[in-house]
Amino acid sequence: MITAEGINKIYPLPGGEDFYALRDVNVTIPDGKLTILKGRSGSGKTTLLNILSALDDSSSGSVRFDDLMITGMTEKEKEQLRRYQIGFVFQAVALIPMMTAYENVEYALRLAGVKKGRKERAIECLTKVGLSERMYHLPAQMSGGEQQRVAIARAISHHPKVIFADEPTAELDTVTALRVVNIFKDLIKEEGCTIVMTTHSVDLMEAADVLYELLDGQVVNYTNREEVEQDER
Amino acid sequence: MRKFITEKMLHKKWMTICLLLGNILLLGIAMSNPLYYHAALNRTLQQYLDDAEPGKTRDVGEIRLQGRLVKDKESGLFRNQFYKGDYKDPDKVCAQLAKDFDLPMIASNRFYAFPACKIKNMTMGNFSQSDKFMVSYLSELKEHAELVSGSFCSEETDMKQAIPCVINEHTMMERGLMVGQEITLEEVQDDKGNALTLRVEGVFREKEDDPYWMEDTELYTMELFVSDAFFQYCLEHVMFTSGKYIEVTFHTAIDPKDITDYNYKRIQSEESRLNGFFKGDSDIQLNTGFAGPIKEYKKNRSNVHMVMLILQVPLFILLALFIYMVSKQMLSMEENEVAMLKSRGASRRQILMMYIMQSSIISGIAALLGIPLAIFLSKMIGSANSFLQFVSRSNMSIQFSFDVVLYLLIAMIFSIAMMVLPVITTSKLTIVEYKQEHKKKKKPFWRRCFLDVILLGITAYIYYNFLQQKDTLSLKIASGGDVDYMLLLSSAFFILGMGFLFIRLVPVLVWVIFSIGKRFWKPEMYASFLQIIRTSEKQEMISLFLVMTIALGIFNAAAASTVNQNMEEGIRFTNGTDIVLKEQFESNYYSVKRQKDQGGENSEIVYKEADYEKYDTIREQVDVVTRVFHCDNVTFSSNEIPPVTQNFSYMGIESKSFGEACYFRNDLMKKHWYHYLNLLAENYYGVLVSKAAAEEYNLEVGQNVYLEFADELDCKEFLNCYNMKIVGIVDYFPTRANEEVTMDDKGKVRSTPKYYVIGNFDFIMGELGVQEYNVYIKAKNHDTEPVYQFIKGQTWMHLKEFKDAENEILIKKNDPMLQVTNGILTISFLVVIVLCAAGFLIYWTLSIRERELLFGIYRAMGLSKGELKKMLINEHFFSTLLSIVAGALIGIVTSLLFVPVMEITYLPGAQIIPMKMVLNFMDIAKLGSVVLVMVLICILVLMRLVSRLKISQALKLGED
Repeated sequence: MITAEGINKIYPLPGGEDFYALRDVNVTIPDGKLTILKGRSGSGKTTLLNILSALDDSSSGSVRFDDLMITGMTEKEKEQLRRYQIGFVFQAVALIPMMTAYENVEYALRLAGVKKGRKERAIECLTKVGLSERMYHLPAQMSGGEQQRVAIARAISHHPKVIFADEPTAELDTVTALRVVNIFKDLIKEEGCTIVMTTHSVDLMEAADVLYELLDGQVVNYTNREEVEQDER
Repeated sequence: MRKFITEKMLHKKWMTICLLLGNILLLGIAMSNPLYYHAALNRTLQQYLDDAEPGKTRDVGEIRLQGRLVKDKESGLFRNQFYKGDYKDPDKVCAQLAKDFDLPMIASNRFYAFPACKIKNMTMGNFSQSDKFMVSYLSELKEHAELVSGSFCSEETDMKQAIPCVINEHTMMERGLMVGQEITLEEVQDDKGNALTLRVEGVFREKEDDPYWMEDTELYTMELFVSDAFFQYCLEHVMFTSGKYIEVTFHTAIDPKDITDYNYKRIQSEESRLNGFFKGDSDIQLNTGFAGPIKEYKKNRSNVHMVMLILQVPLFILLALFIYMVSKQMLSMEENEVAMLKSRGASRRQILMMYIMQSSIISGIAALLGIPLAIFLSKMIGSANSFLQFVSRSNMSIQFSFDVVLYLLIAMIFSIAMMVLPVITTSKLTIVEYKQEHKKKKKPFWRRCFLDVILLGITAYIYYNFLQQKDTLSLKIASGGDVDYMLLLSSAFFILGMGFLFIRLVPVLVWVIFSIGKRFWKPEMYASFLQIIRTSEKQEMISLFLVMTIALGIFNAAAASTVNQNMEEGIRFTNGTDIVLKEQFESNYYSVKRQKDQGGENSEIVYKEADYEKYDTIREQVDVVTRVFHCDNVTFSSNEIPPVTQNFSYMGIESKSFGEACYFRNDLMKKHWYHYLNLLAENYYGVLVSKAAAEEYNLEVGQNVYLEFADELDCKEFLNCYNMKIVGIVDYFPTRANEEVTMDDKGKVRSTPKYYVIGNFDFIMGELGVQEYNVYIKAKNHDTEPVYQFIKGQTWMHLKEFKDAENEILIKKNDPMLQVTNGILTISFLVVIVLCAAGFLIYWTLSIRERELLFGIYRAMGLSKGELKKMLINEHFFSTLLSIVAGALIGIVTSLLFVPVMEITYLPGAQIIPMKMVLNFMDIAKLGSVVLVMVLICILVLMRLVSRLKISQALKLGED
């Protein structure tokens, strides 16, 4: 579980004023669920995702990753955390361009220090996202959706606890976007991982187990499907 | 569009500055070409004029018109009329010659010689029936001569007494005449029937450094010079029955410095016109001292220019590559914009025009800034003394001509083409096509057409031909034939071909290394190997650039150092030591000569040795002083060999001091040359013979040899030596050449073997008696000034020969061809370093910026900054370091193969010792240290960029 309390992200402006990208944000990411951070462009969802995933630091507040306190971690500790416990899928297709689909996935395993069974696991992950036929293609030889699926395969390859996905469907058509979200759902079931995803697409909200809506750097709405269902029952 | 272009350029100001730098260098170097070219040609012409052998004329600035004044049939007297037209009046001929050649006259004289007459009677001396004298006249003699004894002739002549005349000091020596002596001539009488008696009134010698003296005064041995008044009297009243005409020579002196590259053609055509004009009279002959040098200059004129251009070819290739590379990098940042413009309706023409305009602005600014650079470079070339060495030379006059504009325009067009070339493909594509095109992997042109194989094939063919024709080629160039320009270009082809081959092979090599440890490579190494293998095409340009830079730098350094050092060593070897002089000893030479000339018996020339102890006074200021006896005309024989007269020379040395005084390269013989000197020192009668002589005449150590020496009058009757024994056979010996390259009248060059014998000085002097010998002086640190001061202080020292090796080296260093080579190779070396540093930094900085998103991904995936740095260092190792090592190897191989080619061009035939390849470690170290600093700066910049990298910002780039 990831918990963030009282998160502020402040950027100083030239006139001496401060710009609050995030203002007193409190979120809890439950394990084994799909958490969606919703909001319009500039609402602060990517900033929050970066802070939760130890890519960026908050100006104040604290972030806890299970028993580990991310706030105050050294750069090295954060690197280790990202390397072994986290998987990333970015908005722009962020594959390593000179590596094939297989090599991209295998590289994440290499980074995670996996010494044996890299090949099998890489093939397994790519098969899981439906790309067993495209393993030896370079990113430039694939469509946007295919590339994004490779990115997902790479993100899950080393069995991370959490996958952070920043607008993974932003550049995809609706059908492909839904397919990507379904893959996420399947992964939660099969791999038991936690997924945190940002999106502005209304069509995908249905898939969320937990939904945080952000507006101007503040959480304005929180929905937990389980709680809603319990309430309804 | 203008605003758009300006903003675009300002936005990418560092790239624009780099492009400007490349353009300034290209245009500056191109403009320096004609600037230096004309200045160098003027100097070359001056050098040809300075070095000219006088031949028929004594002075190179002399215009000589020879003809006759003939007798009037009726009066029997000579007519004071030379030819026709402007050349009718003898008094005006000299000025008319200068006028026709359009060259300012600095001196002139007219020399008249009446027919030679036999001697009827002579006081105070003996004469033979065959002895003759000529009544002669030299205009304005008094003003240009100084008296040795007696007085000049008075203009008032009393015809009843002996006619006063003056003689040259050589006439006095040769003919044994003296002041007061009277000579009555036969076959001549005045209108009253009186015989002509002349009295030697004075003896004169020429004033030093007076341009009036164009005729060699040593030739005046029969001339009795009379006054102007008596000369006029002779014309009007004296009948010479011994001949029908007066020989007349008009000498006009001009300053050779007035002959330049701009007027030499007109001077040449004027000479042909005048020759045509005088053709009507077969007795008239026009000769100029400058005709030969001008002809020679014209023949070799194009060589300096072509060598200059060819030496610059690699530099132009490199500059073009640099401009192309920067433009391509700049365009790669703009490709999206260009495709966008195209999609929004901009035509291909409009896009091209935009880039042509941008390139023209850069080229225009570069042209303005390139002018001072061109002047600076021309002066730099002109002041090049050696590789990376410049001295201050003032006589380099630089003039702007139309050629400068022409070269500038050509270079501008070339540079604009290089800048626009990358746009041609891009301007065709819309944004959709651009994205599709990006996905396609197309092999570059050079790979597809195997340019590397083609270039190396051409080079191999040229080189094979060179090896086949090496000897004939050397002789051809020595005889003034054109330099084979393809040969000079072949080194550039070779470097380029090897460079392309290298960048073809690098990915293969990296792939092999990668594959060997594929499973075990750490993530950073794994990623960096894949980066090198899969993006090798992106790195090709910078790798090729680095290889060419290093290889060219090493080759330039080696070529220049080899040419310079071999030239210096050649001169020092030929000279033996720093200063070689020969004093004139007192002797009975003239009386022996006179006796011989008069058909008498041969006598021995007896010398009185000049004081040798006087050299003791400079022994402390110089390293060594030693005596060497030279005789270049020796008859060689032994018990087994009948006398051989041709091509044998002898040298008698004081072995210990000779060994200390002379320069000799230790690698020329298997044993140290001191070994042979020791053999001489141990054997008083011993001699060393050259290997060529030993092979030709089957000579062996232990054989006895006999030598006959020719004296100064080529007589071999008196100087001979029979009891010498061969103690050693040498391949080389200081001052001795194993062959001689000579040119026949038809300009054909041939090489003839030369043989030599070296013996002990004391022994040969003991055998032959006192002979004139040479004094070898080795100066301390080549500083010959104390020797000059010493000679200046010797009042009674008459030097017959004087050679200063340092001075000869200095003259050689002033040779325009060598200067061009040193200057251009040095400039190339410096430009290469600048380009290398700039190109390298641009490439890597841009490459890092381009990969910022990728680094963000790596960092997000957990790669530490340290691992990222290791990844870059590994990339550097395989792309940069490998290129540097390959460049160094290619440079060394190119030097080993092609420096001998350069050698043949610069030192054809003249090289009497084998060429020694010079790879100066210091030059390579200079290049290496610059490259090292450059790589270190680059790595530091990269490390800083990586350290400052913010993952979230880098990833944001991806979204943008």
